[in-house]
Amino acid sequence: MTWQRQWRSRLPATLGVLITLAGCGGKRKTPTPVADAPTAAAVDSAAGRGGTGAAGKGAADTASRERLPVMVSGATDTAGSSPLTLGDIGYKSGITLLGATDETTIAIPVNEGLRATELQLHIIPTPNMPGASLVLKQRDHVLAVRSLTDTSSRITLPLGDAIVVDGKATLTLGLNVPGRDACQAQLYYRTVLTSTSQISFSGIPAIVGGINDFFPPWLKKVTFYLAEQPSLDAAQAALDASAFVARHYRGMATVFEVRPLPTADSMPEPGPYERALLWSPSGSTMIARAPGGRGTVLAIAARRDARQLFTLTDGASLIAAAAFKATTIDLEHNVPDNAAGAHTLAELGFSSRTLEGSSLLVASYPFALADFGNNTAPTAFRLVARHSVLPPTGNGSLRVHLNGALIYSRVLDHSSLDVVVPIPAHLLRRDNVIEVRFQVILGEGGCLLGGPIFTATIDDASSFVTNGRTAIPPGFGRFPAAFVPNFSVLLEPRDRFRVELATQVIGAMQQTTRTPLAPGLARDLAAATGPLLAIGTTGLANTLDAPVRTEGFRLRDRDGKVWDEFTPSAPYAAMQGWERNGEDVLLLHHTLQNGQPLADLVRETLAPYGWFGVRGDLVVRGEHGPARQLTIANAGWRLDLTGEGATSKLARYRSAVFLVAAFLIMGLLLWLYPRVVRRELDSPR
Amino acid sequence: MSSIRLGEYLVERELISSQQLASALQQQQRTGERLGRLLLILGYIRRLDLARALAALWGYPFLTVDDKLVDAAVAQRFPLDATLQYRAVPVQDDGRSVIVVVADSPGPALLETLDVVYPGRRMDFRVSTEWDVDRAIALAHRRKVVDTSIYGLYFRDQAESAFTVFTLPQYLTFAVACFALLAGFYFAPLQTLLVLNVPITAFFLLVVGFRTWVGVSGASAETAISLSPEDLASIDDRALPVYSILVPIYREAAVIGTLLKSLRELDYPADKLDILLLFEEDDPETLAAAKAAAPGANVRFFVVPTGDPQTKPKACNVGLLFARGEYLVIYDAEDQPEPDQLKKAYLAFRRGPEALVCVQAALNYYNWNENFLTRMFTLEYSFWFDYLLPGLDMLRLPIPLGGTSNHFKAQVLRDLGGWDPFNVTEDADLGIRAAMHGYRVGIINSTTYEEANKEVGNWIRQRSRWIKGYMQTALVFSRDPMGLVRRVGMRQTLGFGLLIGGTPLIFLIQPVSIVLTLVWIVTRTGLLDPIFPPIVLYLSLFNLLIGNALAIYINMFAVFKRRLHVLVLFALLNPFYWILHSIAAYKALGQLFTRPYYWEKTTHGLTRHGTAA
Repeated sequence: MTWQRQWRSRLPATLGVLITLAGCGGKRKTPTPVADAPTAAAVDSAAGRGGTGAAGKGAADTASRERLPVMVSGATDTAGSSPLTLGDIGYKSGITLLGATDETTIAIPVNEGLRATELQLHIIPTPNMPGASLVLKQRDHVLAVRSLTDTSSRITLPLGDAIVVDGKATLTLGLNVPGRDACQAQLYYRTVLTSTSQISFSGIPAIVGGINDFFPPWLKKVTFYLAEQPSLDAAQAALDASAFVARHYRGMATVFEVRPLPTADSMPEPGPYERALLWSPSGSTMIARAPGGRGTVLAIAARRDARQLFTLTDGASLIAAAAFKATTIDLEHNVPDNAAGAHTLAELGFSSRTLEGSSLLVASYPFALADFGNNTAPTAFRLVARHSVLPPTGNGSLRVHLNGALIYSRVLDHSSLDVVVPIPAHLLRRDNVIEVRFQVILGEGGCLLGGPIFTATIDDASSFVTNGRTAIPPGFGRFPAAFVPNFSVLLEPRDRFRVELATQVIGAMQQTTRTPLAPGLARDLAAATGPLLAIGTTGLANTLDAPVRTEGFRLRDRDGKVWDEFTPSAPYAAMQGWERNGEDVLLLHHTLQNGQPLADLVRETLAPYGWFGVRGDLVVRGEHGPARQLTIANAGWRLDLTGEGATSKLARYRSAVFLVAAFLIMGLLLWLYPRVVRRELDSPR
Repeated sequence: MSSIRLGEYLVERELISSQQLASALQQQQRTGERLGRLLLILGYIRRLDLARALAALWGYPFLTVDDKLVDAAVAQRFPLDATLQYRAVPVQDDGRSVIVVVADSPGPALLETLDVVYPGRRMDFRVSTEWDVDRAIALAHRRKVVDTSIYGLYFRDQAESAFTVFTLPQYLTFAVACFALLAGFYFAPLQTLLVLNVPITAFFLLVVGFRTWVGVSGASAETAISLSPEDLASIDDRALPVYSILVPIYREAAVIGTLLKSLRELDYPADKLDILLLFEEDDPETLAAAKAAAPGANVRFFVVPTGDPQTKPKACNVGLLFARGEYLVIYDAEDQPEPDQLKKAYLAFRRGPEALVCVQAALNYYNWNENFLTRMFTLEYSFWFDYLLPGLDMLRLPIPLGGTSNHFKAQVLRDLGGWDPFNVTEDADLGIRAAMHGYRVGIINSTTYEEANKEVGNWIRQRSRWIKGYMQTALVFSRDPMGLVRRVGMRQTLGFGLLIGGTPLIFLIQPVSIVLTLVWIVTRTGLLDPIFPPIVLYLSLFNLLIGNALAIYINMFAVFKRRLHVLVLFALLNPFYWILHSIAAYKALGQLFTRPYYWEKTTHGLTRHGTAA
């Protein structure tokens, strides 16, 4: 009976493997999106599970739980009902225009089928600023001009004539403040376009035609539907998808979430600004379209497809190509070449910038260490720039700041610059900003509007020389750089809850760097190599010898004052980063069975700044919060472990130990009683 | 019967010469002792010849006592107390007459008592030597002697005997404390540790403060009964009472010679010394060595019947039964008392209050500079006997007696029940018991020199016995704490508790403190922080730094009175010496439960150094 049961459970996968092998040996055919057809995806999935037997079992498991529900049309969402704010599209702090004349460029994502109609700006000018005018233009085409007052106001600019290229309408907003003293204006005038400024659209989002246009320029939300106990491939696909969404919609307010697979046989199709991803191993990767629906659901059939889709630069286009699946493609995605030794601003996503002004001109370049790869740090910044010649009575200086600290300055004496600015290693952090500042005094008439003006262009060939090693101590500062080019993810147990937590962390990290993160879900610890993102319970913390791994501990400051205490009976969750056997480990774990503190910890830690706001090497949260971010290593904090962890015999058998001790004491007392209390007199001699 | 007649009779029988008689009579003028005893002490006559002569003079036949002669059933009808009082042993009873062996001329009181016990019998007296009479008593009353020496105190007052280690209420309290502690560690381990730590820390502070206070008091104390050579010179030997010296000896054949020499050197009329060497039945070697040494006629050998517990106090109790002296002192076999000690003790009793039941001479070591251990031991003893005990005396606090050289009023000692054979520091116990009964213990300025333990193992054995004895004493006198307070007062009770109860506790606690301190110094762990909140931490630090420094400092006092200045720096090494105390304390604690009466025998005669002289 046992043998028969095993054979039956392995039969479908075995047949699948045989059929696939036969298909590979014969004439290549265009796969048809038939749900039950055995495809290469099945082979890939099986291979991913490591062996035929395991694959068969996994296939049998997933067949029952990860089946594709029937899509039904959902609520239609209109463009008009979904205006975007500047915050939604990446301008979370709004836009600030400096001085009397300033410009900024904004890129408005416009999904296919929509047309941007108007931009309603909420403007906060400097009080008593002379009445200025705001010009909206695209290239040299002025779309609108509006007068501004010196009070907070809302103005509406038409966008009807804006041209959309590659899903984006790139516009320039220019400010002109009348007056004579441009230098004063540069110092004092600040015109803020708040992040709540809205962009309105008209039209109806186009129905998704294929996989290559599944991810439009803007989305509110991407939902990955997973079984409660997902297969390794499904979980891996979710992790890849989270990194992809964070990267693809970098800076935007697009939400990625993992939801349980609907238990019903059918599920409504998401709205036009949302997408749903489903793991459907018994078919091919395809748009799961409801009759008359929008095509906002993508059924992913294989691990290979997911990797192509989410990790390759043009994955969506490739996967849609008919012949793609059978070709041999290098699945290594685009990661920084550590051996290159230099990374230009262009490679980091910054184009050449031209600054114009008459006093202080600033160009900021945010970058993350992860942008350069793992354990690689810039040692110098080569600044290539050209600037206008200063008038004879004028003078100027160049200053370079790193994270606010001045690291270089020189007098502007020629019209071009090609300087190498050493970068002090100790100033480098995980996320950095290098600022190039030109301070000029243009001499007589230099501050007059219409007078001489200073212009500088920072070439995108400027580069960071990256032949150094990071000096960041173990902790959260090492991430995500430590996860480049790839890293292992260990989930114990592997369930939807932990997959969702992993996607949140990976997504938040991906937001901080342009370098694609490539998580590799490991079946177990033995299979995990390199840097590790681990999510589990105290048992996993013990296995990994995490700094915090007991079921209870006290947190003390340098003076011994207890700041927080977690007892073995009260659940807590922790996120900690440290180095283990030379590899960085980021562990999220919770005690007892209640994982809610861990979910709350991740939510509180990542809000509102995402991974940018994560500091130190330990975040810990009790059942009722709040989450505390701490630096434990070499920082004076002390952890008094009050338990030995879940694996601790004392903790586990505490009651039994005490019970045995009580019996021993009782036995001892009874044994001693006639010896020390009720003694018999010696027999008479 | 006059002494002249005895002297004349002996000269007439040519048992002594006229000159010897004249010499004895001259000495009798000085000491007032009986002639027969004087002649014996002076070695002019054999004990047997004297007894035969006395028998002839008194008109009774002479008899040699042997085992077959004594009918124990007959003898035991005559109470042991009366037997000892009259030194008369009824040995045979044929229904018409009773043969009674005596060493003294039977008086009317004896006849009257015998008539009550053996009505209608004719008393047929036989004279024998004192030794034979004592032997007859031992043969006839062996069981009674053993039971009295072992259970005398227990039957007199169970509450004062350490036979029961724990009373039921004490044991129940102990059991409840064990379970409460266990429950505490289960439900609130840190709080439990804190609750334990606070009183321990406070107690440590209190003990150190108490000892400092007593030591400083002792340093300035002039209340030790100080007796000058002039005082001693003023003593009329005739007025001196018989002084019994009990010397329990066990497996110490090597020191017999030294012992007898020390006893001979005592400045006390030899004829008024009643020296009882108390041997154990299973130690024939020492007895043989003593016989071979041919001690003087004032030395009696007594073999203590075997029986558990085989302890020094049991032997002392046997000696107490047979002691004839008005006063009594205990010496150990290796002791070398200063020659004038007995006279000083006598004067102290004379000048002291009626309640003065005991005077304690100081103890010190003649081999103090033999090695590290003997130096530390000497420091400790010097502080104890030169400062602490005088301090206790000055402050009118109960004084735990030292092991030897404690001089008693013999009858009061009998009234107190003698020594507790179940207490392995019977001396300390007796000092506290005396205080409980309203008696006082004084300190005299005389020293007995002993042999300091120079071997660690031997030292730990001895110290574990002492500490176990302190535990026993503390348990005995804490059975009724309120009763103790009522009888001796609150201050004295506290003093007793801190000294007798505190000493073992401190040594038990000390290694825990040392380990915790070392762990903290090495690891800087914060694990200990919860049990050391600020106030406790400061107290602990005070104990560690100031408390230990004080303990060392007051130990440095010790050298001044003895002028052993070379030992000053050794006081700094006390923390290491205290570790040995702690080892002994834990051994003692284990034995308290498993072998409470076991007497850890200290081996003497190990020193290569000379004597105090």
